Amino acid sequence: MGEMTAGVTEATHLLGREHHLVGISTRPVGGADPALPTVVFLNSGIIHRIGPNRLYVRLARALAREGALVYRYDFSGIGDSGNPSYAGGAHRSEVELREVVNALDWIRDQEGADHFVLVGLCSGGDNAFLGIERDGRVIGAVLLDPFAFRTTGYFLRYYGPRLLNPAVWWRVLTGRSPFLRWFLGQLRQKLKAESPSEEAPGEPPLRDLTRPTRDEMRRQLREVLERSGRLLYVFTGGLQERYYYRNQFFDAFPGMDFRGLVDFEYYPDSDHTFSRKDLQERLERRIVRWFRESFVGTLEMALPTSTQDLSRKLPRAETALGG
Amino acid sequence: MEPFFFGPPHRRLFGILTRPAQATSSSGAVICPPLGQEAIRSHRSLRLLSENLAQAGLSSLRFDYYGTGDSAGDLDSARPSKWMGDIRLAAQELRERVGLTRLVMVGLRLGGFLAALAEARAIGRLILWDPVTDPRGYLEAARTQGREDETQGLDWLGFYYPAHFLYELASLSLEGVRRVPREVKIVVSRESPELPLFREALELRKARVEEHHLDAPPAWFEEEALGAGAVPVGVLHRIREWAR
Repeated sequence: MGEMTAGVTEATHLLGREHHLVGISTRPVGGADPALPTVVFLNSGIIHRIGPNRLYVRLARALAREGALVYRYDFSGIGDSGNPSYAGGAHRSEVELREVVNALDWIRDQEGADHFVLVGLCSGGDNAFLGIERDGRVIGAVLLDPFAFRTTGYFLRYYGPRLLNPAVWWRVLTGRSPFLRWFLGQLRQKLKAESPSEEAPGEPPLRDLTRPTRDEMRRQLREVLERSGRLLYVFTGGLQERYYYRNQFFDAFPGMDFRGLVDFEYYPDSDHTFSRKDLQERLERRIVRWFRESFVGTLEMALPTSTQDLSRKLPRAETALGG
Repeated sequence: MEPFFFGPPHRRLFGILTRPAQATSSSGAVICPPLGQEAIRSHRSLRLLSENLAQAGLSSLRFDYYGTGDSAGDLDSARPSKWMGDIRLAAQELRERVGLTRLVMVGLRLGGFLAALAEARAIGRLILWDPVTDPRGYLEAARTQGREDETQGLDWLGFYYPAHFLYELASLSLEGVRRVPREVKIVVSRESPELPLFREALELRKARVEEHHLDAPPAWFEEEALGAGAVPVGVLHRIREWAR
């Protein structure tokens, strides 16, 4: 236990059915409030469980001081976690989704936790959304710079001013323009999709579950909101090739009823990993406020009336694992 | 992998022990990590170093200094002058958990410098990997990359170092150190102009120092902000040979 970190204690665990996922729990001294959801942090890219700039440690401790039980762990093959026996033939996103469910099962068995909030930055945010969409026990998610759809407003704002810049045209003419490369890549993918498949029959290509089409994500969002899932989106100015103006997220889903369940921040002054002290402090305050407003003393309202049948929504291979 | 916390209740440190499938050596290795962003970038390399050592029959313990990584505390409460004590605690923990009598100590970047200062008991060999050789020079370089605030604390590559921390880190030196391990091996993948002086200081303390310059990408540095440096396999293999 880490008695000297003010107000919290920490312990190490080997999570998952195969005990191969290295994790740390953080809880308030005196124990977590069982009425609060358990918070689980998901790796950002290949950075181990402390998060970029140790951000996850800071946020985990802040949320534990609010009374929550918090876990940070490494997906298989990342940080200190071992390789699983089940990874063959699945897209990485499917493996990670399985491991989210696996970790939640483990925490449920060990701690009696039955409701969760997932938090992640970048790919961690993508996985957090996938988790809340696929697992009915997840009632909230904090998505920091997750995948976002580029809108007409994005292209006008991002590329419009660049069209007037001669240096940009020079890069296009000499084949060094990132936009040109992206455009040609899209074109190649489209042509490939329309040409006869080179894959062996009966072997569908592996699909990245964190990259749905816009229609799919609209449906997924609607489903999450229909069961009162709470979402906090935070976008920064650090990934301008993906996100460029405040309302881009909302413009991507015109006419969508967010039912007051989506909280949103756009920090154009922040880089992708919140690498300054003031940015980290602001993010911590915002997440703690969201958690408090969403769950502290209001959990009965936030909980879905019944937990969904999880097995219906999990990838096929999860069922083969034996639940 | 065996993760655990160790150390006294007021100073819980995170450690992760990697044991060989079959122990063929009575020796083990304590691995001292770098500081801040360099620790994040090199995490994978140090994990792979542990696995390499396990393949050679050696147990190893990686750990985080107080206020860093998964250990308790934060950089506001951390004191670099206490981190040598953390290294000694880690050595004792490894010795007791695995029942070893002989240890080697491996330190990367600032971890190398701190390991040289730690005066830990029964360390047969010290292996320094691109060690920081002068903390003042190290912090001067940090100041050119980071941003100082009005209290003279430093925001540097994602971590905020308060003024008292910087002052204490800058004041660390080999000067008061009486004993260093007899054998010191230094692997260099990035040249350091202060290395000859550092080597001289070690030799003054009766260490037999060998330098090996390897053409390898630095594990603690990255061109793009992905949170991971390269994994220099050649360096890991060399350290494995030395640690046996």
